[in-house]
Amino acid sequence: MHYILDAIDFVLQPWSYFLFSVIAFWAMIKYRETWTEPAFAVKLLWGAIGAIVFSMVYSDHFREIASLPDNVPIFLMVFSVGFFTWLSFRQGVLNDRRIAQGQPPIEKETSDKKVYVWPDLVYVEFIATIVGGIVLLVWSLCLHAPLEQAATPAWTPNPSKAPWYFLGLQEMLVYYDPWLAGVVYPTLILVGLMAIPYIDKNPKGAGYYTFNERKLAIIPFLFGFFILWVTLIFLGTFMRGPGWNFFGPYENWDPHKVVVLNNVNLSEYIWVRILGIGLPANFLIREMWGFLAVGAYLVALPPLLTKKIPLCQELLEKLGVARYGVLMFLFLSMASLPIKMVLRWLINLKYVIAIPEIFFNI
Amino acid sequence: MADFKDERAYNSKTLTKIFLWSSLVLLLCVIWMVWKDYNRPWKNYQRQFMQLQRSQAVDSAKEVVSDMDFAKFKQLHIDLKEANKDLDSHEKEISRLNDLSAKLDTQIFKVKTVDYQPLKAQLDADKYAYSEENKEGKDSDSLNKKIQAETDKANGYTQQLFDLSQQKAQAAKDLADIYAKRDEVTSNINKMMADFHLLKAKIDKNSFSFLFYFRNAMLLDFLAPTIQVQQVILKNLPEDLYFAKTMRVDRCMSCHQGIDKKGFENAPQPFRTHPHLELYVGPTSAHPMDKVGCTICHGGMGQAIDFTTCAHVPNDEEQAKLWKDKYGWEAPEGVQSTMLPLKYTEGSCLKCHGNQEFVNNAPKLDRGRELMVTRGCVGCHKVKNLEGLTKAGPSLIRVKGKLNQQFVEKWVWDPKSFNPAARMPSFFQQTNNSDEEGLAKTKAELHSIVQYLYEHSSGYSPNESAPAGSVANGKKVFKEIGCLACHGIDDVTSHHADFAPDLSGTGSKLSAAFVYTWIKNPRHFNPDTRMPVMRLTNQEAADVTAYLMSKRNKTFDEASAPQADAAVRDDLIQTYLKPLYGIDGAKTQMAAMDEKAREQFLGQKSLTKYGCFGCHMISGFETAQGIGTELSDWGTKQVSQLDFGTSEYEHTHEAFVNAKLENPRQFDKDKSVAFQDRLKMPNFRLSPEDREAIATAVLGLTKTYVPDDMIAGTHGNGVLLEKGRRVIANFNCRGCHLIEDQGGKIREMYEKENIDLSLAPPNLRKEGAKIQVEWFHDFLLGVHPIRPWLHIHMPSFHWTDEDISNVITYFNAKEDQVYPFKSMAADKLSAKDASQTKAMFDKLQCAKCHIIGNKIPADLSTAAPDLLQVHSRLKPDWVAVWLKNPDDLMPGVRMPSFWPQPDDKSPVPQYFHGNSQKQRELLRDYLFSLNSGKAN
Repeated sequence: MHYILDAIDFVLQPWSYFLFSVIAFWAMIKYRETWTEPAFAVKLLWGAIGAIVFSMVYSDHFREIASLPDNVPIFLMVFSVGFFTWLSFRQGVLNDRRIAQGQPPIEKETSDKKVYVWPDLVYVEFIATIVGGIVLLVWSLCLHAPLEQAATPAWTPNPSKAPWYFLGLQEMLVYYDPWLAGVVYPTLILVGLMAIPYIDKNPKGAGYYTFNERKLAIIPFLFGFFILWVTLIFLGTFMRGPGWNFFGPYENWDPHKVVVLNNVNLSEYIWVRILGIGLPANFLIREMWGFLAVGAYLVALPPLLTKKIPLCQELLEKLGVARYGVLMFLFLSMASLPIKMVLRWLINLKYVIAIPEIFFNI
Repeated sequence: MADFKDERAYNSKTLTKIFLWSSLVLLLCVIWMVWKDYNRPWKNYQRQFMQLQRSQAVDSAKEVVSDMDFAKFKQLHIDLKEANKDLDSHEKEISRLNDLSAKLDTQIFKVKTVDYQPLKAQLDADKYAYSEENKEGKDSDSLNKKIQAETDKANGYTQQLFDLSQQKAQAAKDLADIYAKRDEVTSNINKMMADFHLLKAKIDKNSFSFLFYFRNAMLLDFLAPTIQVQQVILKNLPEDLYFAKTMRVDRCMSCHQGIDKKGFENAPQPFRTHPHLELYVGPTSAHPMDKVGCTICHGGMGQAIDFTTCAHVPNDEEQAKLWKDKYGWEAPEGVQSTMLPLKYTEGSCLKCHGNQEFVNNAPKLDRGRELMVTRGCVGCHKVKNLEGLTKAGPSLIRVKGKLNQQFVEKWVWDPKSFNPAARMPSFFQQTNNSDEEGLAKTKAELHSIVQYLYEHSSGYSPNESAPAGSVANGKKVFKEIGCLACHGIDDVTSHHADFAPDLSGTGSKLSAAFVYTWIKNPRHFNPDTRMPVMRLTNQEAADVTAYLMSKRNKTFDEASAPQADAAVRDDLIQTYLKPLYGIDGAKTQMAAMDEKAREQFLGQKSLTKYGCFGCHMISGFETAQGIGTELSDWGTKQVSQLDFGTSEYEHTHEAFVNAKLENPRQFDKDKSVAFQDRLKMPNFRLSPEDREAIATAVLGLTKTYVPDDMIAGTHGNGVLLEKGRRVIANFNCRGCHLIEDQGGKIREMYEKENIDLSLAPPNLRKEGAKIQVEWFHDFLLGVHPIRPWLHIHMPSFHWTDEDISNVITYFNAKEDQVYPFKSMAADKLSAKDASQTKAMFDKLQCAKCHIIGNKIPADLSTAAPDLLQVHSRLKPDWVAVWLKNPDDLMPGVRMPSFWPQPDDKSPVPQYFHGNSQKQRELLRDYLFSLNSGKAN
């Protein structure tokens, strides 16, 4: 059995994990008609449970990590995200079929029915509160709060992990500096989510589930949520060990593991490796290529895209310059994470702009 | 509103059912929560301990009752009855006196509150008014008169009160007289029952009454519970939480209920009494619980009150298993401080006693510290308080004149092949350098090291050649004279000292001339040696030399030295030169060196690499620093900073230090490490007991805050004691003598071989109170025999004035002698007393055992020291105390106790009216009058 575990450990690397996630995401979109069938979904559910049971049974290491009291929410997250995604896709697929046949969406049929706040809604909410209370009580009685020892400047816990819900953010720290990954991007995520209603002028899909009518909104959102958030939390929990090194899910966390980390800045690539001259002393000149690249990406790319991609042209016309500009800025910011990841894996890129003199690294 | 029903989304009956059931489950969960909070193991332990105390008290009560004199008890009750009857006959008088007393009370109350107090208030007010009027210059005559009148009246009342209380006292006395008989009987009964009543109170206190259950009931126990968390707060010994110091709070006694109470020595844990109540925890001990607590010594989380969270750590696997089954124990994780396994607890003494040379009540720790010094651990590893000591190994400054090169190479290559008891650790042929490359390279290193040592050694030749001697007699002298107090040898198995080198195999190592010269005067070869002169005759020295030279190791003699390969040596030189000169540069550099220069270069580098100068004096390395990790606070180093390599040990300090001492190179296993970067700590081939002792001493090296005034040996007499103790340790005085009732290690031989222990070196208990300072000083400078019948010799040490001063001060400070450590002089005897005392002296037959000048007692096997020395050697104060009860001062002494204690009855009542104290004092004075001139 350990051959299978070892094989999985061998295959899984940051890049392959990302690749598999993207393939799965693509498959989810592409074969939504198939997997939203309840019978198939039940098979998927069993598959997921089976994978976890298998891992727990055959890998002591996985069992140890998975049974830590602070990792319990991860499983709640995995299954609840899975269930609600399935539910929304199921509704969306059914509605899309009806719409294709010229029928109104399912929601239409009940939309003119009244439901009273009292007693129906309040009563149900009250019961939900009680059940929630029971769950929390039992949970806290059965599992101890994972308190650690007093902090010491002489010794950092290794691995030093954020609370589970921040592990996606912590994973970003591998690719970006704290001011970006810890401050700018989280802010953009919040602001971006708030901005959605003001950018989105599409009246379709309001009040009912649909996929086909909202592809453009759903796919980028789910890409951000699944690939750049949920799967990174999973990765951060099970595959980041001591020294923030990457470990296979069944690989023992050896604190002395040594891995190659030879990352190179863009400026060094261009000045030293391509042009064959030394790094200029002035950091503005030294990093001019990086500034050009970032400038081109954020400023030149949006107008360029309208010329090259009809979809973008369409969007510009629909939304107007301001909305289009904000949308593209948010979208490109989000895309910068996977782009940096790919660059890191392909050419060991460390920083596009690297000015450690003033702690400004991108 | 009428047709609500149809528009309901849910069936309200179903909802109500769900609501009912979920509410019930929530209620159950809340009860569960409260119960879980209420039901704590420590509470059960306290209940169990109540039961234990109760059953013990019941047993004692039964014993008290069965021991009671029932006849007397009955008689007392009959007496009581009679006394009561007697009282009946005084009924009238009693009631009269009671009435009188009551009447007097009324009168006193009236005079005091109705008459006196208001008048006094008025008087005070008038006095104030008078002073005010006087101040304003008004006429105050009338007021003055009023005050006078009031004062007179008040005095009258005071007199009245006095009379009344006199009358009342008289009435009370009369009454008491009548009751006297009954009160006496009652008090006798109470006296007889006192123990029983105490026990009864204890039984009641530990009974499970309704009140007990009420006060400790769930949800009511916040009011005034009897089952409570118990704790001591130790403001002086804060816990260091890195960013802040917090008070140490130890709650261990919440479960360990019997820890400070006598009588639970055999109770099951956690109730057992502390095994050393006289030293620890007890209120009168040196380490009372409210000052020292528990965790400062034992470690662990003092605030926790659960078996696992307070970080218990088992002694061994077996205990771990037991704990798992019994308490559901888990290895502590994520805690500041884990408990030290019980077998290492002595290490914690270092927190306060680290300044001390030895701790006495911590034998394992003392042994560990001694080993760290004598085995040379501290030569490489810096350890606080163990710095600047004499190096563990012999000086190599003149090695050329002592040993031949072949011997040194074979010896260093494998010390145990020469002598299994060798103290020199093994650097070579270890697990991480026994591969082909390792062997070749270490041989080259060894060869160069020896070349370097001989090149830098100055010459020496013994100044005397050894006369012929008898091996048999040499063996006898060697054993009897005391060599074995420091040296070991394979012929003697009853005792093996490891303070100085084991001498088995000397014949294969040294020349006879060297040994002979060395025995006669060790400082001829090494002026700094600690080896003393044994004052042997030439013949004795020759015999011992012959004996030692007969001890040969044939196998070792015949073995050949490891052969070094010059090419491998050059390779090694390259690895040192490359970082400095680059690959090509290194080659040119080396090409410029001749053979000799190459040997010297690698020799010097290898000596530096292995840190040989940590233990040996070597020319060119006089100021070199030890090469090991500093261990001063190793016990609090993070476990994650210890490199366990690929080994399977549990990652704990204990496991690491034990593994390291057993095989220091094992953490290189499975690793790819360049030859020069491999682990270098040598293998000391320690016994498991010695490893445990060293582990105890190393685990105790922690960074813990202890206030200065709690650190022993840094203030008052402690400083003086430590100076002396350091000399005592440095010269191994405790190899022979019992000092502070510890040491006297050579006694082991006497015990095992059934030799009379009174022939062993003396116990130096109370030496400071006993010996005159001048005599002590002269004796240490020029040793001469006091007990000529002993075979074992006090050697002549080469002591500096400072050493002698420190030792004498130490002994005197130990006995609280006051500077300048003098005693009261003995009195001069009057002629009449002198003749009587002499008669008493003869009657007591003192001279039967004691030598007196040239009068030697007939039976030398019971001989005692010369009494002519008393006046110059002993302190008079001490002699009188000594005569009273020698066995008390020196248990096991041969001197009989003539005045049996505690009665202190004189054995010779005919002298001085049988006054024991006087007899002893006069005898003392008589002894001090004896000296060589006037002996009679």
